[in-house]
Amino acid sequence: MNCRNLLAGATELDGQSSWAVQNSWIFPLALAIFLLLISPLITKWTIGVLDGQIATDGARHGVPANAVIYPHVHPNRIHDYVEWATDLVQIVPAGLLPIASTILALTTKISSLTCVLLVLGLAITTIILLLYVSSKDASVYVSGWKLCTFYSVATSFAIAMNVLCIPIILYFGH
Amino acid sequence: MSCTYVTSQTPRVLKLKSEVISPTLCRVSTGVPADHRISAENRSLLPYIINIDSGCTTAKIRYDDAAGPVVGWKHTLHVPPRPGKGASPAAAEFPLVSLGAGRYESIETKLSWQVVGVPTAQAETATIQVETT
Repeated sequence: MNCRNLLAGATELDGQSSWAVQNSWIFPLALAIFLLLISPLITKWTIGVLDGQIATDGARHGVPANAVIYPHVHPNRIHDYVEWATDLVQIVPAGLLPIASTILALTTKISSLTCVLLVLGLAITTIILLLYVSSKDASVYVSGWKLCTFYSVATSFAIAMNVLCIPIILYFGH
Repeated sequence: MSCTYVTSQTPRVLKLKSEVISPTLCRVSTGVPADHRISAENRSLLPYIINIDSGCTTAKIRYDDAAGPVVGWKHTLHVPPRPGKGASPAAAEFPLVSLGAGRYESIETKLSWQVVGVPTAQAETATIQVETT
């Protein structure tokens, strides 16, 4: 029994046709949205871990506590590098995975031309966003626009992609 | 003629602007208040110190000190690190006075910047021009 059948069995106990099974393709998207919503917390945690590693490494190399730390490698600057790099690497999967998921879900319901146009449109948007973020200074990017003062441009884009794909699947999936 | 200069050699996180603030764009007139303003925008989490060393390089424009018109102005600007979002602004200004009519009156400002606690500093010269009447 595969996972889809398992889900079907679990949700058809009352003998009714299950909404959950029909729309099971939206669950990965919903999970992605949840993970993206908590991603700033994971980034903050990563920065904390990295701070600890830098401090330990400095002590083991005998770096004095009052040593001059130059701005480009200052821990505060590294915090911004981490946040920026995290966003940069997630742009491509964030842009393309939701649409790939949507196309798989609607594979028999939409034409090949629509698929190609969707992928092409999203691929171009993703590349533009990738170039935009990579051209920005890490600190300038991190201190820039944020959705609800919490979610960066890349994370907001990823959330929007997943949110947009859910109604598309629900509408065209029937 | 430009009465605004934005630095191009500062780190990308730091923007310094030298400009003349007056009721008429790029014009300093006798009896009309005008200021030379240096503003800083810091988008990093590091505090900066900006040293301002400014001087009027032509005859008809001067700084308006309490003791009378002076050629130069020096100031140290402390720019705090940015808050969680946006930029941390800081500014300093000194009044200007016109000593007569002039077409291209020039102010040259040496702006040097360094991160607090770091011994090295970098500098850029900002030149702006105004008309005096």
